[in-house]
Amino acid sequence: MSRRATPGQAAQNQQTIKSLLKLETNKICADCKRNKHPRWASWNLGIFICIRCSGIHRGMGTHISRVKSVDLDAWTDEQLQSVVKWGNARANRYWEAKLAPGHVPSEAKIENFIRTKYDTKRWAMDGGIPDPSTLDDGDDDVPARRQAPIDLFGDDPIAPPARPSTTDPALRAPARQTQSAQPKAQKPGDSLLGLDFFGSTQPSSGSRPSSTASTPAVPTGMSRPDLKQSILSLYSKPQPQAAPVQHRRDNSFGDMASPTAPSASSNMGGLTDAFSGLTFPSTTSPPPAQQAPKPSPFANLTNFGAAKSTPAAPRVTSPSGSAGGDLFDSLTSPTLSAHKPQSRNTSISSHNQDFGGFGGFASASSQPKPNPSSSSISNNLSNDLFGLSSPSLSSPPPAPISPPKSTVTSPQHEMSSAFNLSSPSFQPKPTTSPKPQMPSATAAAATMSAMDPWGGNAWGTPDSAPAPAPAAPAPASMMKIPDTLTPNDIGGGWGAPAPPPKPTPTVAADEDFGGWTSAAPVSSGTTTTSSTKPAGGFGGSDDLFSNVWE
Amino acid sequence: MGGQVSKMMGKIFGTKEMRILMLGLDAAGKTTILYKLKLSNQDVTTIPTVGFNVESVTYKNVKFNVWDVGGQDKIRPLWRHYYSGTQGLIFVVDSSDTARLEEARSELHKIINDREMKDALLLVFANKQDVTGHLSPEEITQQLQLTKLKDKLWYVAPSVATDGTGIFEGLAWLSNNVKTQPQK
Repeated sequence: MSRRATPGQAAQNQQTIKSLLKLETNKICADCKRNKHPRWASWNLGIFICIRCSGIHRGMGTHISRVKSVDLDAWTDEQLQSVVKWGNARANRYWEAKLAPGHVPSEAKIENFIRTKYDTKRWAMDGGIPDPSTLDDGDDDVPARRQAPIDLFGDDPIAPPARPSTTDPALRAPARQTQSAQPKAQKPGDSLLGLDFFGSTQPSSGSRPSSTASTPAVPTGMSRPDLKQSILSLYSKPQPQAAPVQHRRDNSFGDMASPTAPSASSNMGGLTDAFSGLTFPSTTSPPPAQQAPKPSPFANLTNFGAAKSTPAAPRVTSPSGSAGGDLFDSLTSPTLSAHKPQSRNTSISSHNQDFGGFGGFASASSQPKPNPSSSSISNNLSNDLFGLSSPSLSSPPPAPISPPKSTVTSPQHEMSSAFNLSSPSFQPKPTTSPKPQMPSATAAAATMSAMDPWGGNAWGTPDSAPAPAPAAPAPASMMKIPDTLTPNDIGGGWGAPAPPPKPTPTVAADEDFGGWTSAAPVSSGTTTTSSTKPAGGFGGSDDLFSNVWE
Repeated sequence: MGGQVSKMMGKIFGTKEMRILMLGLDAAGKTTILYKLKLSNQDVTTIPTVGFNVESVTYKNVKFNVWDVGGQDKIRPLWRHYYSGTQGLIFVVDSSDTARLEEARSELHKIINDREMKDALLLVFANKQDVTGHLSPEEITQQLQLTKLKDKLWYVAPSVATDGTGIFEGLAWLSNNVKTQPQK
């Protein structure tokens, strides 16, 4: 190790390393599973990691990990051999043998995670370190899957800046909001996703997906089955996840179908009529799957429908200023608490602002809170509404898409800041209702974001008639989400609403380290990854919607 | 006016400025030391330095302008661009990374043999003294072949950068010996 590489050797090895980095499993940081295109490596462990994780590896000492830069260090043959033998997939099969397959450590605990993984070896395979070549399951997919989900998540952090720029200005506001919301939502939520009204593709993409947003296909699944399938075909994995979701969706749909749905129905009724009953009805049924938080958002939505009903929405109170905002706020706030992402929250709020028109809705939202599931639905609805209201929508389909690209993270940040400023009311509300609901709330937020996209779509496709159709799908997706709750689920739901799902919820496995993230991966199993992609789906979903409508 | 007063005070109380260059192999602990000097009561989490960091730290009436330059293989050739005007060289060694001590020795001698560095004080931090399997400052001295240096003022200080142990002692040695160096 100490030997230094000769220049010729180093140049040759550099080429080999760069080709190794082209393997799917090496395109994501082996530890945080978030950051893409790692440029650092621990050569004795044989893994590729991001610069941030590399700093933690260096802190553990060279007896545990020896870090080298792909670009700034000269590699010896010995060092190269280790990385060739291992690679991220094999290494994680060993070091994370006792972790749930899709586990993604929480960002805040990444240092603890890395030290636990390599220093105390808590999740390492029993027995000594095996020959790396024996660690191939034959399904290299597994690692890839994990990564994919991870990527999505990772994107948020990383991507945020870039994406925002990509989004069209006009769209940005809405899109961003949605995007941001989605991302946020994603984490929390599964429930949110489930909520997504229309299947809203957005939700599914949700969470981290937002990052993926660029991959529209996934999200789209929501709108039309056909589209979904086609999209899904792109991401074979997603479909499986979707399946589970669908089941739930069915339930939710049922609810949807019958506006009467329990709690929500009353409020919804008005909205539904307006929207041809797309989602509103469903709101009620959703509750089961979704967490409490979501409900509130939906409730808000429902309120929209029945702005009149608003009363229920007490929480929303703030609405007066911007009713729409309130609704959103409520949604967002939850997300905030749940997720990291203040930015997300903000984004949500921004959405709300956009939807200022919907303010009425927000007020209504208060009622929804009680019914979690219903509330989530309402949110979705509200989003739709908003989408409609927003002028940019005219070209909705495209717009939605673009937003997704910008996706999640970056947009969110931007959105949030901008929105936050504009809609002060948000903060308060969130705090109140959100806290409790946190999980669901986040989901709601996610849905919210999703909503926007939908709205755009819906509007684009102006006709109410179409709306219903989409709505149906959405419910399903939403339903799905709730079931799993885990991010994965959500993602899965979006991506592959139609497909039969996989159950992955189990994820929870690593409680310590971000069960959510891990969960997502799990569900994906194979499909999950694709499901995660759903985020990308937003854009895609938009397209789908637009197509459908048109 | 204020500036003049400050200069006067500096002359009266011996306030000086010292340009310090901190080098060493990658992952030796340079950046951690820098930020532990600057933020002595905070935990420091670093990432590999691509480029450099610079901070001013005032200790014992001496204002140290410390330059911390990344140590990866391919950016070591850039170190020489920071030599000019350096009054003190802090060379950081990972005392537990015995496999790379020879590499560290080689790099150190390249630096101090440069004409621009001939007048600089040499402070070596035998860092990571908390890691099992570390070498003592004496062993580091031997491994780095410091005893054969002539016309060079050097000192090896044990340190644990992560908790700040030993780093201010090292700075104290620099401030106590800078006076004997020709002022430029």
